[in-house]
Amino acid sequence: MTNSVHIVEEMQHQVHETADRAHYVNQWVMHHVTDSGEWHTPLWSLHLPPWISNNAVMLIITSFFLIIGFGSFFRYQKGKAPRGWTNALEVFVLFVRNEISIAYLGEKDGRKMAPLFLTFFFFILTANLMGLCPLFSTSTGNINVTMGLASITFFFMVFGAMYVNGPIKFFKAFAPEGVPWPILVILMPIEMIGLVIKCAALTIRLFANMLAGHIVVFSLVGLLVTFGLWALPALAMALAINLLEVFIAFLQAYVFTVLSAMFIGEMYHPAH
Amino acid sequence: MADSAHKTEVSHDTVETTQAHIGHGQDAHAEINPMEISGQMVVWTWVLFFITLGALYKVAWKPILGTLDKREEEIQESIDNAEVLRNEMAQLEAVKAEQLAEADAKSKKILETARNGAQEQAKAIEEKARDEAAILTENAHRDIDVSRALAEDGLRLKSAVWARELAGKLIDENLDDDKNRALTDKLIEEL
Repeated sequence: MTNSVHIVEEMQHQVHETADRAHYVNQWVMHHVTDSGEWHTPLWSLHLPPWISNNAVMLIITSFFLIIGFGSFFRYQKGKAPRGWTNALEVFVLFVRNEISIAYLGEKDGRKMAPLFLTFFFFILTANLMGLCPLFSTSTGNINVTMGLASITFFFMVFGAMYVNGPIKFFKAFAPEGVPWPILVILMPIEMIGLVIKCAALTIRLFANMLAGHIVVFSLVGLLVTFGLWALPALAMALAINLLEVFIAFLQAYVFTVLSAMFIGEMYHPAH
Repeated sequence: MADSAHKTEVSHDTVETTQAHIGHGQDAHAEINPMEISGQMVVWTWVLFFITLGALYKVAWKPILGTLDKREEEIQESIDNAEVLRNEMAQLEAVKAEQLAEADAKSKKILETARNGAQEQAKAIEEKARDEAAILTENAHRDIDVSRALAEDGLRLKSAVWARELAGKLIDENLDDDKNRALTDKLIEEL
């Protein structure tokens, strides 16, 4: 009797202990995927000043990488075909300009707006990929960063379209011709709210994808903490998910850029 | 039992390490909200994005897109030049074909003219030969006629002489020479 009571107590103890560990793993995962005022690495631990957060530091590093990278990797030699990094990056530059910018905004506006979409693509891609590297964290897994990026799209959807078409044409775009006015009363506010919803969708899509991927990877690693060596196969799965995340990083950068171009293009050329 | 105690100790260590890692003064049980909105972070994003956009425009997009545009223009120019050359080639081909056709027609005409000339010449030569042959034949006929006439005259004369001699022999000495000659001439005329 005493023995069985002891076994039950032992089991209860183990259950509580596992629950405790799971709780801390949860805290650990959420701590690693959300923004904070610290930058922890296996090598150093920095307490950041209150005016800057970990994700802001990551964005600064992203900008730094991009400017230094493009400044040093792109080398054109007159009369010679591009080689190496120049050739590799040129494929992406051409793709973004021709298949995204010009495809959705037309020849004239597409060429003019190409630098914006190129920056969107490479900025998001670098931020996404940095999150997969040790020492760094995913700034695009922060809703405020994705909101900031989507608000830039919103800015061009509204003010860019006003600049291109004029304010009257901009508002006329919300009222399609031939629609009776009672329907317009309902349709116009919906169309205007649609602008915000499109940008909110951009925000959530990038944020959720990047956050979810990292939560999955950290949770799989967390299984090792919770269940010990029994959960070793989870490490292989985490590695596989991490590789998938590389693809997701490219895909999400592409999706954000394409949708931004599409939304801005719709506002620039409402007749189409 | 000892093993279980050891496991408990290890797991406590792990939890504490995790807690310490998360901690740094934070309450480990405090809820972390990934949806928390921070205006400061949005501003950071704007500032850094536009700095990146400006810097990349200067160091990357402007030179890269400029180079790509230039390359596209060069390729387009080459395509246009190739098109012009192709058209020129087609025109030259057409001129060449026309000239060949002209040369062919000319050579045929020359051959035709030469053939006609040769035929005419052959005809003329043949006619000339025929005329000459006719003249020769006519001359020959004339010669034959003259020769026949001469032969006939000679023969007639000879016959007359023979006849006179024969008649002289027959008549003997009755007739003198003057009478014989006159008779003979008369006979010859009659003949």
